[in-house]
Amino acid sequence: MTPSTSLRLALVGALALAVAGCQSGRQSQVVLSTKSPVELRAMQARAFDTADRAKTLRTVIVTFQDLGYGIDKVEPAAGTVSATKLGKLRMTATVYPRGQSQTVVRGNALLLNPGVESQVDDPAFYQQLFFEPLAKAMFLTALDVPGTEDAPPAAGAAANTTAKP
Amino acid sequence: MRSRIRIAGALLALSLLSACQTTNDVAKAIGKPPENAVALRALQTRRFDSQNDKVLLEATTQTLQDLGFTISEASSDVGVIVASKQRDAHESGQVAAQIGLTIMMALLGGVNTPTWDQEQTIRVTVSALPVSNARQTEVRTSFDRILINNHGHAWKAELLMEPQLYKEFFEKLSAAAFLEAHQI
Repeated sequence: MTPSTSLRLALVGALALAVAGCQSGRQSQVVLSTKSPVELRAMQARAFDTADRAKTLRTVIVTFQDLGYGIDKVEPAAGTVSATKLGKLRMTATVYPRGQSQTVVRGNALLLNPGVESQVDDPAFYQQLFFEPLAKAMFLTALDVPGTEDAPPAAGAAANTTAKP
Repeated sequence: MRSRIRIAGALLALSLLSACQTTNDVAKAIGKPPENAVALRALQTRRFDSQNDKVLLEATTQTLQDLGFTISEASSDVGVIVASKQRDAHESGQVAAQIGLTIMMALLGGVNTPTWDQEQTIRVTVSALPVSNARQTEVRTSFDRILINNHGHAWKAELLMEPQLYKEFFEKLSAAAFLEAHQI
């Protein structure tokens, strides 16, 4: 081994160590639900008869506050809001248009334990502890979203979305 | 000796019970609305005679900064400001009690790791929502805190419900916005 080769190897080794040093090593493991995507969507999404997406997002925020959550992050352009309750329960809600006259709210909850985040997949949790208070705050009924509905439209496609029966 | 067996039995039963709780059970217990939700909303909400939620958000930012908070999230599009601050949570009474308990456990042949509150992160979420059919904006403020123990772990969390805390916050906000705060 020539001196220059060993020098290079030493440099690569030092670089690898430096990169490894930057990693936190405390990333949580996420345990996702074993339920089907259709089941999850049915429990996590509801449609409201309003085209006012911004107002819906604001009402989701106020509902989170009513339920004792603190807001972590809001992205009005993407229509998302994340909130945490007592450092143990995190909810992320997405608000997106459905057709010309409806807005869909989808919530996803994770239970935060040290090192492990587990997805909540009980329909009663979403219905009683999120959509019912949200519907009251919206003064609107939370409607089931038919199972044929897909995920939120891609950016830019929202305006072109057509109403589905 | 018999009492020690009883304590061990109770601890075992407790750990078995907690092991039976699923993610969904725990989430439903934590996700329940606060018991006094209506009173809490009244405590946390004030109405201001202005439809300009941006002005109220600016005044909120100033008020929070005056109170030593650091803004961690702000979105004027949806009328939200989130801020936090760290404070010492050390109480000598709690520390003394924990050390006393550790000594007592050691005398009884048991082990206790003394744990007490070391630091706290106080978080505040403020949202401003224009009121429909009224020239008013509703401002809702909620404070909570997470306690970090002397081992560096977050071990307690609670919503802050002291009326004085909210009263003082809204008084300062009212002065900063040059608007009167109405209770709902």
